[in-house]
Parts: sequence; C-alpha cells; structure tokens
Amino acid sequence: MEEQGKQKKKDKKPLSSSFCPINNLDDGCLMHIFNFLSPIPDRYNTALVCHRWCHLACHPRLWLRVEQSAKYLSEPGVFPSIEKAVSAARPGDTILIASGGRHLASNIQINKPLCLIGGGELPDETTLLCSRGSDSALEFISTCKLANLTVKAELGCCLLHRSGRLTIDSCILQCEENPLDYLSCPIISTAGGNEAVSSAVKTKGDRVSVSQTRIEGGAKAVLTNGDLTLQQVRVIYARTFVYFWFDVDSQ
Amino acid sequence: MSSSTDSPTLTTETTQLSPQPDTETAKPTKKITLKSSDNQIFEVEESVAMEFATVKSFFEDSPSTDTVPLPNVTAKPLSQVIEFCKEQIKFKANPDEAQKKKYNAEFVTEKSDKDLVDMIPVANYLEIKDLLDVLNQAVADRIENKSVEYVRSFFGIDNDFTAEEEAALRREHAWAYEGVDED
Repeated sequence: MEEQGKQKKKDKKPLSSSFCPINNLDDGCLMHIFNFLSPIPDRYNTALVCHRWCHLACHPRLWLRVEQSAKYLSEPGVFPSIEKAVSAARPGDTILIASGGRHLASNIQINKPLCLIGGGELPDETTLLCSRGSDSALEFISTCKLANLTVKAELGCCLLHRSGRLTIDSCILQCEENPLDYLSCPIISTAGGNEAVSSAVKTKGDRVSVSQTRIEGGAKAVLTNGDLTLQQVRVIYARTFVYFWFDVDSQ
Repeated sequence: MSSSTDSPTLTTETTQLSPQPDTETAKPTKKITLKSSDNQIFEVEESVAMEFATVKSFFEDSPSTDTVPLPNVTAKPLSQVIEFCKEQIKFKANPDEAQKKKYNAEFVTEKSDKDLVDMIPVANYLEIKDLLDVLNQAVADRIENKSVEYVRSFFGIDNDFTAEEEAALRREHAWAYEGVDED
C-alpha cells in the first residue's frame, strides 16, 4: 500500500524540490499527528488540505467517547460520563455518546464549542436523562451542536440555551407528560435577556437552529425569555411522528 | 560511523549502573548489526537495539542471528533514530526529566521538515513509542495556527477538492468557527 502511495505521488510531481513525503506516512501516523492539534482551529484547517487529510482529521478515532461499560474505560479518550467528557474536551472536540442504556445529564453546563453525537443508528438509541430536581439536561453558554440524540426531562427543560449558537439536528426532545406538564418546556432560550451570564460572555449571533427533530410533551416546544423569537417553522407529519425545522433568532 | 566514537561513554555509563557479576556487565557491550535498505551497516549496543521493539522481537524469535535486516529503513533517518535512542538510554540510567525534555526539544527543532517526516515511518516501523510521540508532536507544532494554504504549500500537497466541495466542507464546519476570529 505504501508503494502505491509513493507511485501515485511520483506520477503527480516528478521533480519537485519542495516535495515532502508527509503523505507517504500511513494513516495511523497522520492521525497521531492530528491528535496533537487542537480541534479549533488547527484540526478543522487540516481537514481542508486534501481529501485524505479531511477523512483522517474528522475520523471518529479522534473523537472523545462516553461509554458506560467499564471494558472500554482503559482506552484513551473514553469517559464514564458526559460530564467528565465535557470537562476534559478541548474547544471544538466531538464527543460520541455510546448507544444503549441511559446517560444521566443534570445541569451539564457547556461553555466551550463542542459537538455531541449519539452513537446509535437512530436518535432513539442514545438517551440523555434529566432527572427530577434539575433545571435542564444541558445548558449552553457556548456554540454547540447536538446530533442523533434523545434528551428526556422529567421536570424542567431538555435544553437551556443561554448564549452562543446552538444547532440541533436529528434529535428527539421529550418532556414527561405528567404530572406537571405546564412547568416544563423542551427548549428554553434566555439569550439576549438581561441576565448576568449573557453580558459576561458576549457572543454575536446567539441563535438556535433545529432541523428534523421530534419535540414531544411540555407546555410549549420553545420558551424564550430573552429577545430571540421563533422563526421559519416547518413541520413534516410523518406516519408516526412529527418532525420540526425552525430557528430561534433575533428579529 | 558515529556509533563507534560514542560507544565508550555509553559503556562506562552502563557499567557504573550495574557493577554486578560478569554476565551482567558483559551483556550491554554486545554489539548488534543493523542493515538498512540501502545496505549500510550500523553497529549498535545491544541496549540501544533493544529500544527498537521490532528488533527486540526479531531476536526473541531467532536469537542466534547477529545481523538484523531492516528492509523499510534507509540509512539517514536510521542514524538519527539511533542517536536519539542512545540519549534516551542515558536518561533512563540517569533520570532527569528537565534535561530529557530539553534534549527532545532540541533534537526536533534542529531537524529539517523532511528529516522529521522521514523519521516518523522509521520510528513507527521500529515501534519506538517515545520517539514517535516526540516527532508527531513536533510536526503538529509546525502545522499549528497556520492557514490551509500555508500547510498545503509547506508540505507540497495538492488541493484535490473542487471549489464546491471546499465550500460545502467549510459550511459543515461553520458551527465550530462561530465566535472565532478570522486569521
């Protein structure tokens, strides 16, 4: 395989003096190098260099993982809880949350750009559970992306958006229907309000964008306390579920 | 080559460490011959060769041989790798973290980019984990905080993205750049 790579490179650049054989390194070595780079901005930059680098720099082997079963915990980059993974992550990291079981998530504050992804085929397979007595499962101060996850709240809200840009793609947000339905909302956004938090961490373009997401239970899908409003709502009524697309943005 | 001039210091080092029975002191002075792909011969102390996991397992499989062929390794990076391992053995005998860090940093900063990248497959093939970490960290440091165009020209990599693909990729990663200043 190494030979093939060399051959290809030679065909392309026969007599270049600046030729550097970094692309002759095998995938493991290049990934090892990328692992030393901070995700923002360097790893995202390397992803733009060429197809091969893109594949390797965005490879799931460089992600952090949350696993509940103890057998993986000895591997590097594997954490027993979402809280631990979030606090260990570098800005821009992706955290893959293993499917199966229920991950407890109570008032986890995310104050650096992160991407949280569920490890299952479908969002139902990875559940974050916010138990009674917590305000929210996840609280967002910074830009963040959620994908392929189910977030369930027994009381309180699933996602509390304080500032930054929050992207929610292919998720399920559920609030327990009984008994205090009227107290809970799947998404609460306080961005732009007069809170101390939003003035301390001043970010431009606070917004929430939701795509292909099921939102079930709660008094209303989105409650805004700040100056953002619900916009561009689209809904698809599938046979069994209702899927939402919308933005919560300033006017 | 350089290995013969360096060896006396190393021998005294190791004998100081283990002034025990003859069998023990005799061991480190045993030489092992490594043969690179371009047929250069390197004579190294056994203790140095044992730093190379690949060579070590070669000897475990066939202890009677005294020349180890290294078909994937050329002479220049191999000599640099041997130089590094000799130093590491000194640090093993005489642990001094600060000195070791300083040496490791100097070792990589004085190397050209090509030398660094040439050494990585050698370290990988010989399974020298410490060296691999040092080298890869050094390459990562050279990419750090550089623009995409700089990295491409730095390593002479062709951009094989179409304009549309690159734009799509930037869009996909846009969430991470929110609130980050453009360089």
